[in-house]
Amino acid sequence: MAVHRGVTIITDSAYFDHDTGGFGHPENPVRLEVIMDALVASPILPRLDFIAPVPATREQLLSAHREEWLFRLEEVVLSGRSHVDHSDNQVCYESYRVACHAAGAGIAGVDLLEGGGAGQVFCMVRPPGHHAEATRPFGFCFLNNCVIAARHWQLTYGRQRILILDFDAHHGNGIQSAFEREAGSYYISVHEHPSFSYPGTGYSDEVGFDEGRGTIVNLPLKPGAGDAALLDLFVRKIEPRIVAWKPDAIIVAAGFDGHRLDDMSGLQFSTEVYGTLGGIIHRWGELYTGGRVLSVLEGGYELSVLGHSVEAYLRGLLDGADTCKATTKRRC
Amino acid sequence: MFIADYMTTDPVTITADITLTEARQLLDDHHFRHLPVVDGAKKLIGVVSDRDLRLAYPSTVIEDEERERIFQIVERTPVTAIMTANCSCIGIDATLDDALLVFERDKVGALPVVTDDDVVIGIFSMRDLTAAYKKLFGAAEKGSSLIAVLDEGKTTRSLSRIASLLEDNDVQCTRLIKIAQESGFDRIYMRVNTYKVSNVHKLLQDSGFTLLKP
Ligand SMILES: [Zn+2]
Repeated sequence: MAVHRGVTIITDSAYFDHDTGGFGHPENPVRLEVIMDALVASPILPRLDFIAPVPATREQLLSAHREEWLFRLEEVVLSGRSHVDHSDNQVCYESYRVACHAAGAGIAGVDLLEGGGAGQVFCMVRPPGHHAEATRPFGFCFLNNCVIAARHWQLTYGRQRILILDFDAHHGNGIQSAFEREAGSYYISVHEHPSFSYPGTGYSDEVGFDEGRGTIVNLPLKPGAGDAALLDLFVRKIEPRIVAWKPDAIIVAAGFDGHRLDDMSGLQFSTEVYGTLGGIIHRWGELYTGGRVLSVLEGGYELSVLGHSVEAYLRGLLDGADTCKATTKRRC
Repeated sequence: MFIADYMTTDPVTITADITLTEARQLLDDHHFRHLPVVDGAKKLIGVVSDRDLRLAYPSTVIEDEERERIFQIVERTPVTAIMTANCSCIGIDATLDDALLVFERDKVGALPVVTDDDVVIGIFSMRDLTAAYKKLFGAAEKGSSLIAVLDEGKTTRSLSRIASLLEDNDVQCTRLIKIAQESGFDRIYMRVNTYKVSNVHKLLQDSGFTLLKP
């Protein structure tokens, strides 16, 4: 397999077409613009490849969603209504098509990683996905990009043991509800405590049901928690779970709204901590999952820091790769 | 607010002639913890719990022979020997608050629910009570989060002020409660259904309320 030392960014101009009713809405196309600006200005630019995905097929969507929801979403957007179920979930005529494109990014990423066409992958997509459930939207999310990618990994490549690691400031209720009743797929989420934050789920005693009991780990942080608390969870709580579970692959639900300047949460993370997370996650991929790590953009709404936070994360992924190479002179 | 909305209806009941073995089997099969004991007219005469049953069986530390002997006696014993007669129960028209007070007073885990003439028509457990309050207050309701503010008296009609503030700004509010404190300012709790929780914080602060933060 070819050794890739860069990161492949999967993104598409189609993502600008999901109009959430003007720029008063926090989940707007400028989010991707500021990320792109930060990457173009970054010294890591030469180590980034950009690839456009194809939209997810209906069959791929159905691995995570019920048909009734797909019909309903499509019908709502084509009929010209402004939102689905809750005024937070703004849509436009193009939203269904764009959401299918966003779901396609994770699938393309899995194919690249499996085919040797990429070493590390970051899906720079919108709308985000981790709140979307099998039959309904939540919190700006319509299709669950991470779960759709996980199902593709399982169904197409037989990688059954998928871990989704979610460091968005909000609990990924949609990922949890997809995984909570099955053995062999895992969800770990770090988020602001659900009593104080959207979507009000993700209490530490939500651990899964039946076959899936013990496959869900929720690690809520109190409002005001910062880098030290976050990194402490990564070292003390998360890594031991990964060692114990031995996942075949990790999907990272990478949300950047825990930044101290992002007022979507009360968390107080720095820009730099996302670099540290990138390094840790790269190392875990090499140590525990044969390098199979796919990162998918979720939240992150403060435009003055979102681009830098994503850039720091990608730099962390790359530095992690360099450190591994320098210390062992081979893929560690 | 009525227990009738949250109780288990048509609960499994037993009659006085049922043996401990049969009672234990029933509890194991159905995974519940309390069996009301009734007479031929379905009227309540007692209750037997899984704890009562476990205590009736011989301890594992007893010598085998002795244990076997006790076991055989227990097998033939009717539940009336160990049930709590004159047990606590609650009427069908009781409220959740009534039930809470009975649980607190009698330290039991479940209450048979009876009609005016003592016929058992349901069972209401501590778990049913917590589930009911959870629903009432919206804890862990998907899409919601809780905000608490101090009502320092800077504004009159604080509840209507908050309600219209939320409505005017298109923020869904599902609970709004004001609680007087024994000392200090009253507290107002609201459960809102919005992604932009910080917006609501700001609206409240701009209107003169102090946020209660952890
Ligand atoms: Zn988020």
